[in-house]
Amino acid sequence: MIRVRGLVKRFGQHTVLHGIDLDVARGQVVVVIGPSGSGKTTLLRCLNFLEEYDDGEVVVDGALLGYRRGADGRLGRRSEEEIAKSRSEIGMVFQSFNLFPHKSVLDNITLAPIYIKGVRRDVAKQVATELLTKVGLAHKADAYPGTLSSGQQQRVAIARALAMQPKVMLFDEVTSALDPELVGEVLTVMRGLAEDGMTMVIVSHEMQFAREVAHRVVFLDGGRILEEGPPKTLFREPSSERLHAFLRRFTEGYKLSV
Amino acid sequence: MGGYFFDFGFIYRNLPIFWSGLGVTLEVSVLAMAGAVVGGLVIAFGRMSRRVWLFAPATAYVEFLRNTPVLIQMFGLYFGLAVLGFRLSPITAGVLALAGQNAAYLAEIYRAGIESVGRRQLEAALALGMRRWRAMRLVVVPIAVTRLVAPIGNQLVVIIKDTSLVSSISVYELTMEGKRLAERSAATYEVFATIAVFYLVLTSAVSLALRFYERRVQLIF
Ligand SMILES: Nc1ncnc2c1ncn2[C@@H]1O[C@H](COP(=O)(O)OP(=O)(O)OP(=O)(O)O)[C@@H](O)[C@H]1O
Ligand SMILES: [Mg+2]
Repeated sequence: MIRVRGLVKRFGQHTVLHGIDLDVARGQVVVVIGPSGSGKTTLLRCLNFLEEYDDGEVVVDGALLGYRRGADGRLGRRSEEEIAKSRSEIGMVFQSFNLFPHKSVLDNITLAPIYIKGVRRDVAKQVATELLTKVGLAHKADAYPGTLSSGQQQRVAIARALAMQPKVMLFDEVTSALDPELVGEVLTVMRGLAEDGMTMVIVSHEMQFAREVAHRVVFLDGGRILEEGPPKTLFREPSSERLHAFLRRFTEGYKLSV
Repeated sequence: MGGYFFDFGFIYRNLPIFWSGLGVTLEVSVLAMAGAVVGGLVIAFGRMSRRVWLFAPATAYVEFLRNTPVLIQMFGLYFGLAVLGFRLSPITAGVLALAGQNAAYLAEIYRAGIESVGRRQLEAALALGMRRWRAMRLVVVPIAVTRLVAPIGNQLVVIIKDTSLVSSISVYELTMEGKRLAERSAATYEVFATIAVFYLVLTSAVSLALRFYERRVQLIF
C-alpha cells in the first residue's frame, strides 16, 4: 500500500530524513517510535505530501505521491488538483486535533465528503452518524468542538478522517496532548480500526499499545531507520544501543511488561 | 447656579450646528471604515502572497502608512496633490487618508489572524483533500473573521476618533463646528464637553454592536 524508497527531506541546509525505506502492506499497522526531533512527524507529513520531499519516492497504492514522471523521464510536481485527490485518500490525525471550531461535530465530519467528493448531504450525514456511533460520540453530533473534552475531540478528528474512506490512516502522536485518563478511549478506537483491517502508520510513544497492535515497529533516530521488526522482538532484544537506551527511558517511566 | 456651570440652554439653542457637524462626522466615519475594512483585506492578501510583485508593494504600503502621521498623509493628499494639480475635496482627502492608514493597520490584523488562527485548521483541510482556495474559503477565513471581531472593532473606534483630524483641512465636521462655535461664544467648556459626548456615543455604538456580534459568534466556539 505504501512504498517509500530513499526518502530525503531537508529544511534549508538541515537534512531531517536521510534516505528512508519503508513498506506498509495493505491492512498492516506500523508504529513509528523515536526520540524527539528524530523526524517522525516529518516522515508522516511526507506520506500525504503536506511536506514536499527532496529526493527518493513515496508510492501510495501504486501512484507516486506529489510528483509525476514526464515523457522525458524527469519528475515534475503534480497539479494541486491531483495532490488534493491523493490526500483525500490518505487520512491524517494530528496531535492537536485541528477540528474546525466554527462547525458542529457533524459538520466537521461531513464538510469534506460533501465539498470534495460531492456526496449528497443526507448521505454524508448518515455516514457521519454511523462513524460517530463507532467512536462512541453519537450524542455529540450537534455539539461544537470547543465544548468537548480533548479525548472526545480527538475521536471526532478520527471520524472526520474516516469519513473520506481513506486507504491509509496516519496518526501523529494523537494521544500526546490528551489528559492521561482520556488516552485509553482514543487508543480503543484505534485498536478497533486495526482489527477492521485498516492500513495505519502510527507515530506514538504508547509502547504497550504498540506491542499489542503493531505488526511492525520502526525505530527512527536522527532521520534514519535504525531498526525495525515485530514489536515483541524489537522490544525484547533491541540490537542497537540507541534503541536500548530509548526503551530503557520508557520502561523506567511506565514499567513496560514485555 | 446650575446654568452657571453648564449652560444647557446654550447647547440646546445651537443643536442644529452640532447635528450638521455630526452628520459630516458620520459620513466621513462610515466611508473611511468601509474603505479601510475592504482595502485592508486586499493588502492583507498581498502581504500573504508568495508573489514578490504583490508582496513587496503591499509591505511597502503597510510600512510607510503605519509609520507616518495620518495628519501628514492628509496634508499630503489635500495640499500636496493640489500643488501637483489634483484638487481633491477636503472630505475626499480626509476619507482617503483615514481609510488609507487604517487599511494598513487592519491588513496586519487580518494577516496575523489568518496566519496564526488558521494554520492548523488549514493543514487539516488540506489533509482531507481540499484545494487551497476552498480550504481558505470554507475554513480559514470564517474562523479568522470571527476571532478578529474585537481587534477590528478597536480599529473602527480609532477611525471614528481620528475623523476629528479632518477638521484641520477645513471639513466642517463635529470638531470643526464645535471649535467655531466655541470661538464666537464664551461657552468653550459646554461645547467641547458636548462634542466629547457625541464621540463617546458613536464609538460606544460601534463597540456595543461588535460585542453583541462577538457574543453570538462565541456561543459556537
Ligand atoms: N517546518 C520546519 N522547518 C524547519 N525545521 C523543521 C521543520 N519541521 C521540523 N523541523 C526540524 O526537523 C527535525 C525533525 O522534526 P520532527 O518534527 O519531524 O521530529 P519528531 O520526531 O516528530 O519530534 P517530536 O517527537 O518532538 O514530535 C527537527 O530538528 C525539527 O527542528
Ligand atoms: Mg512530532
